[in-house]
Amino acid sequence: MPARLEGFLAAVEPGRRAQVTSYELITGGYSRVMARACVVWDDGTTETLVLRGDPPPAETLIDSDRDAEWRLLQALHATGGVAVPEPRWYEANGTHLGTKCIVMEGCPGPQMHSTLTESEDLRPAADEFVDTLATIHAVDLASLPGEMPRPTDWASYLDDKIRLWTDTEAGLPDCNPVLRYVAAWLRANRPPEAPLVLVHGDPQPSNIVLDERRGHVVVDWEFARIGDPREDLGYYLSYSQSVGPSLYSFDPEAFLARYRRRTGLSAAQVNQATVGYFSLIATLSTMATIMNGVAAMAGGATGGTMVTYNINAIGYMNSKWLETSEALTEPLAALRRTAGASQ
Amino acid sequence: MIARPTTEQIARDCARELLDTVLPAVQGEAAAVGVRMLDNVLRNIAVRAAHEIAWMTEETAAMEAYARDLLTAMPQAAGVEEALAAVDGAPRAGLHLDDVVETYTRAGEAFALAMEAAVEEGDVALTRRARELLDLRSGHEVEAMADWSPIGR
Repeated sequence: MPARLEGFLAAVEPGRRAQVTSYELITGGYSRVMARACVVWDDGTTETLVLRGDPPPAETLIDSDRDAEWRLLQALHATGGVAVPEPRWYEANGTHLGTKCIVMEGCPGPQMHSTLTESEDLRPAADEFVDTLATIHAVDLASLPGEMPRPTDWASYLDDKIRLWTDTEAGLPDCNPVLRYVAAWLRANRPPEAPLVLVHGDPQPSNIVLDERRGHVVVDWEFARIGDPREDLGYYLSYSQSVGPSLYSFDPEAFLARYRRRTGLSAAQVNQATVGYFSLIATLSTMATIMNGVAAMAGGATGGTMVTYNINAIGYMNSKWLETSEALTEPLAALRRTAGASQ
Repeated sequence: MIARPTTEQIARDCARELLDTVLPAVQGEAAAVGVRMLDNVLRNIAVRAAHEIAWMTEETAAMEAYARDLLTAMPQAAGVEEALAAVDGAPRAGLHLDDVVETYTRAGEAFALAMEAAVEEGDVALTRRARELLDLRSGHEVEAMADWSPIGR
């Protein structure tokens, strides 16, 4: 692979030559193949690059669009509101690297997740995490790539999100009544509307690099879309319940109050019940790709340890979805009663 | 048929050897993560080998009974009668895994249609009973996870 990378760099930087001095795969992500490479250019300068490509089709667990991710990364870097790794080059056809591949700067600094421990005071980190989410959600939609899908309105966006549950279930090799039940529950328990914004889709401390100069550098934008901001909050709530320590759960009210101050959203829009509702919505967006991968495996179209291993994630999420819907039924009903009484 | 050691015991022994013998000799974090995932998959297999036919048989009976009760209460419920006819035509004579899975899948569809009708009609008792069946199913899925947690994240 180092030789292929050197060939790629020679093609994209025809006036320079680079030698790859180290190349190692990065673990931790479940969807893309990532690697970190150190290169020395012929003028003596060195730099660290991160490569982000697609796994072989037969081992693909989660499908997402590298072209779209590259365009978004470029737009965010150009706009400058959210710190992202500098996008350097893009291999759009796999000629040199064997796959569509984003080549970006290797950000110096640790992943935020690696700096968190259960014993320390999590509040400063929680505050910074909230601020980063609010910054993402404040990105001007006009600055985003024109190809990025724009929902027509919040209600139809939510309808599409709920329909994903039944559509996903219809594509499975066997029946999953939990998906059908939750879809019915989501239709019956809609929360108050919120403005549509840029959502990251996989916001978690593992996707934030702590850069001394730029602060939080946000990586892994493959699930980004224009959607409801509470999807990111709900996604993180759900994610952090399985991968702690949680920056949300140790003081949810403080977390949400700070988020409301940073975004101007109301307590009726952003509260533990609505975030819980969107934890259901947000997690299916990711789980649907895993379920599709498992369905493809059942049909003999794909395989590999990652797909088999993640069958467990479906069982885990089925239990969480049932638990969450049960717990939220009354709080969401109370919100609707309050809203009805105030009209 | 050599029944003992059982498939569950064999799979657990493979998992133990993977962790005790293979993992220490593996170089590189990516390969080590792969070995730990395989260990979990083997423990999944052990639980499923021990219980999945019994669990699916138990759930099939409960889901089918639910769908038939709902059809009695709501004869107009969309698709339930047809789905139950498909259950009647399922290969139920034996305990070969493919047959059990096929019957389970058909019963699941009948149950899901019936449950949707109960929720749509606002039938509290039948919705509550559906939730209990979903919890039964989910409990089996959780047990089959064999203490799964995201590895390598």
